[in-house]
Amino acid sequence: MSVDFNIADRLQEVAEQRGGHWALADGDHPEADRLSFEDLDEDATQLARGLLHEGFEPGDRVLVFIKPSLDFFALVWALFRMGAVPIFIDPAMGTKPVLRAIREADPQRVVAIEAVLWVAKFYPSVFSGVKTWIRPQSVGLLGRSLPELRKLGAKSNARVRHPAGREGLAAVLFTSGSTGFPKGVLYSHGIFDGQRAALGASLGIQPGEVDFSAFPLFSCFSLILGASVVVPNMDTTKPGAVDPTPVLESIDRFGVTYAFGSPAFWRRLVASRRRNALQGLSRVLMAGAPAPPDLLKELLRSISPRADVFTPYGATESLPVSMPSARRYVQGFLTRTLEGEGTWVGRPVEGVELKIIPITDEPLDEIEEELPPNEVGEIIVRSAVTTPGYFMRPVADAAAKIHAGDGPTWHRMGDLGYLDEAGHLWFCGRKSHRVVTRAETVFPVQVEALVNQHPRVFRSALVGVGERGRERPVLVIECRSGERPRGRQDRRRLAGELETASGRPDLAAVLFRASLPVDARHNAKIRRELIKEWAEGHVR
Amino acid sequence: MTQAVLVGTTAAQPWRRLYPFEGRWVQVPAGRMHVVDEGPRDAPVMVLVHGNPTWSFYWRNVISALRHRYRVIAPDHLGCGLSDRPAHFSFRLAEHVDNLARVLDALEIDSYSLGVHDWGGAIGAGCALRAPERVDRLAVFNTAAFRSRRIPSSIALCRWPLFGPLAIQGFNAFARVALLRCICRRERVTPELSSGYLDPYDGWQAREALLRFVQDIPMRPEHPSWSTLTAIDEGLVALSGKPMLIMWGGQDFCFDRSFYEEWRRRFPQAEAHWLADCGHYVLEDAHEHIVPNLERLMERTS
Repeated sequence: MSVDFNIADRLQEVAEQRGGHWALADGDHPEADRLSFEDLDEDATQLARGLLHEGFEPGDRVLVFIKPSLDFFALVWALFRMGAVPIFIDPAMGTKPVLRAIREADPQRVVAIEAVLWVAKFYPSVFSGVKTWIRPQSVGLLGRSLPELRKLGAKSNARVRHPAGREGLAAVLFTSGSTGFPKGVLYSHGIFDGQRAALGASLGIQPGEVDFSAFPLFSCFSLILGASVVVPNMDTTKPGAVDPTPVLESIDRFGVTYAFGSPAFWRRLVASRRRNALQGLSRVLMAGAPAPPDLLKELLRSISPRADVFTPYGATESLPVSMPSARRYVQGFLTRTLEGEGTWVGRPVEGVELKIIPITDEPLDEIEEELPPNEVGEIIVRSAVTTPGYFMRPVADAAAKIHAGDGPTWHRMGDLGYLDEAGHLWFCGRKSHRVVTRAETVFPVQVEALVNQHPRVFRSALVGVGERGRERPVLVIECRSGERPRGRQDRRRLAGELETASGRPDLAAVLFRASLPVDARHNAKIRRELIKEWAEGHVR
Repeated sequence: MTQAVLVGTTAAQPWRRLYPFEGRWVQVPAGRMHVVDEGPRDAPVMVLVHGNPTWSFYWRNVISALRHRYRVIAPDHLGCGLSDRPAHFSFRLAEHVDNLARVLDALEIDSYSLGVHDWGGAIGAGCALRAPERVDRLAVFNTAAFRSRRIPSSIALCRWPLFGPLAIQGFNAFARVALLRCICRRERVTPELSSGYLDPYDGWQAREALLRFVQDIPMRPEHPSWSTLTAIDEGLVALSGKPMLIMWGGQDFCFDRSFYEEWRRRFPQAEAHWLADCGHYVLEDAHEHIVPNLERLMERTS
């Protein structure tokens, strides 16, 4: 029997406890009134009434494309409360993947900035299932606006809470996989509640804290943990281009206690002259791309000695898996990473079951074997935050999920790693990036960690050329600026040094590129599949 | 007396384990049709109409799941699956429609829900339109029941006079290539499964229907089946308003997104699932997703 539940109940609980305390402040308008928990909860209900009046129904898929704002949070909670299913698509994926994701999500309703509504006119087939268009502002031509919906909602006192149940679908989050095909991850009301509990417990977030996050959805959890949220005064789709000054001003002005951003975001902030505003933080959160050790060190120097940096390990499909502390990493485990043992990600957080299984690209019906400590294999997890599957992608489900015996579904992270004797997880790269030679399986991050220590190397990628099972490893190097090889002799010498550093006598080549292609969103994830393709053409 | 070339019953038949149905025979003018008829006699009926180059084997997971509560009927078109390979038969759309109607009459089916796949869409819809009021619900999988100018070059090639017969009838290329291209979950293409799709079409004579189906796709008004398809196309509106489920494998190189959109345009109230990473044989890739949705469809009344 499924127990009645709706994740928006948590907002109501917080509103009952924290009442008039401020829940939301607008970073762009620091002087404006802040919204209290009571008011936010009431606004969500009123907006939900307006949505119902406008024909929204429980179960409707609602594409949400509005900037982080007071409206954004009120709308998300209104949708949860009335049982509609918001669709979140990362706009930084680029136009084509975004359109692909929308087509796949097949929304019945759209709440989007008016620019999106106009773009939709050019792609009628992508939006063919849409029945209602809503824009956030009163000014505009297409559809109704959120202020209008609020007015409509105010006239009604209809019950809006939908008894969704813990298994009930709450949202679909589209992320671009390493293949570039966006996939919708299914989130239930219960999984969101599991994330609330897991983030609260692993980070020790207390009511009364203040959150600044470059990932707006994360802030929804802050609210139901009783923390206040500063609506970020930045373009959250371009974290690498953020102007650090206003952000640091917000952190200072609102008394932010924890802040969340990608490595690119934090790199901008620590480079600012005003970075002493970071002294007020007790926790820094970093995710979205691998955290470079030099950035972690720099951040640790910029925050208070009692504060720490956390780099949650997980994926949209299951988050968080672990919550490694950068202080512990930098002060100890980093040495082993630099020796090529993989990236330390710590012990799984409370409630996460984790296993290492033999590597395979085949779908699995059961877990046949578990690997002993220190043996690299596939990382699989299950917990209260493990999502059940993808939106309308049965083949992807088969590849990523294991329905073994009783209990919840296992998720295959698509990552490789091992557990050491102390139960710490060490990450050894993506499964799809492994290089399989005649003799063995090579894990690129382990080799790259060695190579990246060379003073002339900015970043590197180890890829395999040739047929799977008979691949030859090739090292592709992006040098630090001004350190590119000058002339044939220099190139040969540097290549020789790097080959020695890599510890791999079987390298087919060391190649140099002006820059390595990285993901658009974070400017940090190296696109090895592109480099592999390029290397195939450069190695005989 | 028709020349009955019953195939697939003498060999080892590894596919039998996947297809544990007795089947029965219905005599139509040109030969005997093999029909799976499972489930309680008095239960609501679901009729499943296959396309080309498949047979009732394609529906086996649906039959197994639904037969406990519903009477499930899945015929093999004449020349296909376990049905006769008639020597004198036109293999035209209109004839297949006639035969399907005869099967339903012979089994005394009054009202039924209809599931169609591939070329079964036109045949099933053709039959349904003779008495639309007898159709309760519709389930549509990667198919069409309307005219289209779109035809993939690989299929157009098979319509060539010499190449077609040689490729399809000589080498069973159509069924073999379909098996390669229509199922995305490669690990599911076991020898057992392959035998299910290939064994009934073992031999030149056994494969005549596969070629004739491809040749019967009407692309121009002069084609003998053009008017049949036109009538179905124009009559399709008579089926609107019925509970309907559209389930589509998104990796279909033939019945692509434009066909899916056309179904949705004609039946805007239908529940539609675009299964992005599944192939033309969408039931092979996603029966675990589809069966529960079919069960829900069968519970809907209007």
